[in-house]
Amino acid sequence: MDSLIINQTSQTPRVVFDAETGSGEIIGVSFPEHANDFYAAVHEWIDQFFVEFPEKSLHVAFNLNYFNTASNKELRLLMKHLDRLYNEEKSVSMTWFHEDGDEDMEDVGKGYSVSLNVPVSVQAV
Amino acid sequence: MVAQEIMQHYTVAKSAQILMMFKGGLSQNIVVDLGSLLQNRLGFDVKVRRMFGIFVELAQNVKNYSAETEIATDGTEVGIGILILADSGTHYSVNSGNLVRNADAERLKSQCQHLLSLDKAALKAYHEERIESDPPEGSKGAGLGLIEITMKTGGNVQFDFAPFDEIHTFFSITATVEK
Repeated sequence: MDSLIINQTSQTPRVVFDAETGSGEIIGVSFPEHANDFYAAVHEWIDQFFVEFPEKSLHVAFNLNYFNTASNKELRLLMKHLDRLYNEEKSVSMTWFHEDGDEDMEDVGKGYSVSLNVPVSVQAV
Repeated sequence: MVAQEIMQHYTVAKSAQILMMFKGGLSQNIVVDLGSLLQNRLGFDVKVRRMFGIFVELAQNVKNYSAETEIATDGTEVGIGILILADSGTHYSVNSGNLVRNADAERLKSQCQHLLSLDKAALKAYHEERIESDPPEGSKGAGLGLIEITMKTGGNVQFDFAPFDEIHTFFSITATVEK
């Protein structure tokens, strides 16, 4: 299965999902014009990954320092997608990185770790 | 004569402590470029990011909802308006202004009044409710911008309206955050 690699721009994050290692990263800022289109590729890749490798683990790291409201909504849909897979007994985990002292971002991560079943580790960097 | 006029613009900008001002059509590319300019000027620490978040929401509001539009170089129809960022020394103030139809102004006014009537917990609950539901009719984004701005400023936001012509009202938003 091909890796998903989207290079960072001034309005979209760097996205790297690697089937071999079972890891994904979303890093940078996110405020594209059509956030739903941007994240559609990530949803597709994740579904395909568990079709091809139902027994494998997937760890997704989020390391964003800014996203707009439309991206916030899309990130939440992505989180819920991963949570659904976890609830279907797939091996899924996440890390939510935030800059040390960025309370807004820390709160978003803590919100996810409380509301979702999938393990979300919130870490300052 | 020309120097007098330009000097007036300069004096107004200086006394209002304006860091950046833009008037025109706000395509996504322009929003991104203004964002880069802002980051080049101020860096991107946590305080700047909070202001930047408000700036992007205001810019995208003008782009999506201004009643005055033009066709951008990428072929899309975009809203025209004004964005002003000022630095008072202790606070950033981010301002936007654009035309709305008189008929929409009434609906917008009651929406803004509703937001300002909510306390922190109620705002958070309202945000949660909105983010979980489909965008409102006619919304081009997530329909969350004004809620987010009100939350991020801790209610330190002014929504104001001024008559413009027979069919339009000028709608301004002034959001203030600590530096």
